[in-house]
Amino acid sequence: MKLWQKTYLLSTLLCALILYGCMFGVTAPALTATVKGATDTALREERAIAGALEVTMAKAPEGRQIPVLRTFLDYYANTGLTFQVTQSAAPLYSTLPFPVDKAPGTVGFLREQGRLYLFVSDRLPSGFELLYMKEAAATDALLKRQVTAAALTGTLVALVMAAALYALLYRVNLPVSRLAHEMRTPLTAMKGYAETLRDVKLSEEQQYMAASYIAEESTRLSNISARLLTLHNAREESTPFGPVDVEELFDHIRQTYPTVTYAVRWPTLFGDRAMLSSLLNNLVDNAVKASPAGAPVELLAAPNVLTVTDHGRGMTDEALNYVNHPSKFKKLHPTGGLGVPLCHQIAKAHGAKLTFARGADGGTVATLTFYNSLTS
Amino acid sequence: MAKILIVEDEKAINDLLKLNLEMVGHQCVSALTGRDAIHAAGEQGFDLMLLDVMLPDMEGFGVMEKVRDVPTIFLTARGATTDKVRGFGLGADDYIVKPFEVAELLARVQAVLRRTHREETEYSIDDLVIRWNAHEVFLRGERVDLTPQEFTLLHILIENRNVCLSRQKLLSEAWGTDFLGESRTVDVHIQKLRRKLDLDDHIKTIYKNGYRFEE
Repeated sequence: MKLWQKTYLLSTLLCALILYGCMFGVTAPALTATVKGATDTALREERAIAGALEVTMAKAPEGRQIPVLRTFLDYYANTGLTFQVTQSAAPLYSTLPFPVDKAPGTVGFLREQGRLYLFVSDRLPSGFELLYMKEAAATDALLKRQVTAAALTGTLVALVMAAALYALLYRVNLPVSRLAHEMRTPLTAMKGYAETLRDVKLSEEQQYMAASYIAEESTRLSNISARLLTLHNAREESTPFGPVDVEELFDHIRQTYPTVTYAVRWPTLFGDRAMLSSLLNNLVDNAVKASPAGAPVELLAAPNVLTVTDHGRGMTDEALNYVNHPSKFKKLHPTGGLGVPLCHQIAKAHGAKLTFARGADGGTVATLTFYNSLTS
Repeated sequence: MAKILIVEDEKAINDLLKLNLEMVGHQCVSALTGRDAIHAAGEQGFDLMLLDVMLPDMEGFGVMEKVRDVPTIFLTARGATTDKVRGFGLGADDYIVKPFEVAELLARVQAVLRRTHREETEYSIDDLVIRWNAHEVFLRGERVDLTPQEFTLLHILIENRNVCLSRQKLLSEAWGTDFLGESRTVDVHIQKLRRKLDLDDHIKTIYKNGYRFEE
């Protein structure tokens, strides 16, 4: 696992923990209020029943207290309330669905066979112990709803946060890993040829070849470094934009690539000249490489659009898909290198979109369309 | 001498491998794409294949699935464990991550050839004949007695012919990494080899570096 992926996992875990902590902090008062509300209601109800029971029993003739108590409590048989009366731990009366043993003076919840019950255990002034109990289905459902809502909200926020963080870190780190990959090839070659020159008995011709490869590969390395700097500028958008003379830009490219022909119908655009030059150089370089020797590569500047057209061998569907959406590909395309992602970055920095399509004769047309008001 | 197929799309690295392997006496065939490699392996037999994982037309693993009976060393810029596991799962003999040292690559190539019994059994130069498996050395038809240490040193020098090996490298290769001797030990043994086998013209001292067996 790469370092940035480890950092990502660790930060996500930490954020998720904090998030769930916060969700718990927010939900806890609501849960407490639900529990307190249900308990208060039960206590009030139990007090009222206990008071009435006391009065009724006080009025009962001597020796008839127990039958009167039974008659009084039987009245609640169909109300969902159940009772148990004991005297010095000896059972006198019970309508509880299951045996319960709670010390007098306690209030609370108990769960039996998946159902939540609320009980109040009380000692009456007459010496009897009264246990009041009722099923708290509504409270149970409310508590479950509150906990589920908190957990779902927490998970949803955590998922959105994790995805956003991953996308951000992926974007920041992907070009770096691509670059590291791209740098390894010239490094391997330079190191290998230097060691070979030092250790191996080579003919003059072989020495020339080894030294040429070192020179060639070091140029490649310095190009990568230059691209990295441009990429950095493109990302940071730190370079101030200014008017760019399109004709001068195209002419400069033609000096490097003599087969380039151009037409300018959009004389000035606003942007960064160095970045645009790097982008066009990349596109033209690819176009020239794909074309037969001496075949023309056409540059055209029409209002808000720049195109690079070649009449080469064209690209496969797979390659076209890659050059149009390089960020969708985890792996570096063998022929793509860092050039194409860099071109897209530069286009983006200019508020433009870069697209590649197959030309009428099978070649490739790269189109840079400017949408941003920065252009003129 | 072994016949080696080099499958690497970067021409600079392909040529580098070819140059060094040919210098130590191997015969090499280069392929720049997976398809070329499969085609070459179908036409002729190879003792070893050096295979890049990332090729322009297919992954190296795909080449290995098609070319099954050739010992293979993977060469790649990727060092991911999953890739190594996949390579070894397909029967790869070794795995080298770029950038690599040429001396290390040569040593690994020799190790794989030795393991797969595809190394050379006999070597001759001028009036000297060496039979590696029998540990026998003949100069002008007469048997010459070498100590085991001298024989090992000669073997390493010839295995890496035309490549300069530092005294430190020779010490660690011939005497083992645990040996606490001085580099002077190497000089003494080299002198003995030169004298016993008449190799003054072939075992060259390379200034500030070490020794090289030149053909």
